[in-house]
Amino acid sequence: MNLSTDTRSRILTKARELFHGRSYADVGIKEICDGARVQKGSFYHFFPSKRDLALAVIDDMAEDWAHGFVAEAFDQSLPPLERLDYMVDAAYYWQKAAKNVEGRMPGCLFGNLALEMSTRDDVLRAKLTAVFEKARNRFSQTLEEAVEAGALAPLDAEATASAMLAYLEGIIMLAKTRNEPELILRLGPAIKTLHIARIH
Amino acid sequence: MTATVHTLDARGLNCPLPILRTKKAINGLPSGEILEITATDPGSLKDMASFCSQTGNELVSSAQAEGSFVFRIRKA
Repeated sequence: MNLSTDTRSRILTKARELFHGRSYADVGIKEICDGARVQKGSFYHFFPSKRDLALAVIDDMAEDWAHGFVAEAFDQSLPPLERLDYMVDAAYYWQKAAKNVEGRMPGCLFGNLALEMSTRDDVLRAKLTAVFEKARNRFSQTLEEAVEAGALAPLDAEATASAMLAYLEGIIMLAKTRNEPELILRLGPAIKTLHIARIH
Repeated sequence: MTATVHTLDARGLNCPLPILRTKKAINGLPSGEILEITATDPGSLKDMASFCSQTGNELVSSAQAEGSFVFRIRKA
């Protein structure tokens, strides 16, 4: 890895960890630079502002997940509805592992940032909306496949997909509040029971 | 009777990927057969134990060898 890629990726990794474990507002550029062992000047070479850094952190994590456990869970070779169980398992094991390391369940980075930033920064809000939109599309494609396969009665796939995303994010938020990842395992599987009918 | 042992290489994968792969592999096995998983993620020690208690499959053994962890799970 060349030096420049390495510096940028160290900043991203540290910022991701700090934003996720604490919050966007609570973490300053100096703390990120110190943690990543990077000079401030070099930070600004890669990221003109803290917001630019946050945008890159969101892209980086979304990319990682899309190619990692999200791809694994939404595996085309699995029956469509089973993919939802894999997503719930992925959320549970990921949160539990993070709690084992940090002592606290960090929640969903995107959900955390959405709650924190949606009233403060329209650029970040738009970025997070796009991330949620991609997640929702995975759910709605899965639902459409399930309907096609006869595993589900016809429904409003877009609305049901939004409801599923909201349910999963809501469970993760509640589990974070209780610092109890097991709640994801207890409530998560019912995601498959959500059904919003089409309006004729 | 000796159970058939199937193998899964989960080395280099981080949580939750080893568990998701394990679940997929186990789901494809007939009852009584064994899946042997090799993983490098240290979190997999706790994860495999809770996966087994969650799913009712039996964690037959877990061992550490040359920087990796080797688990044997019998499909319920």
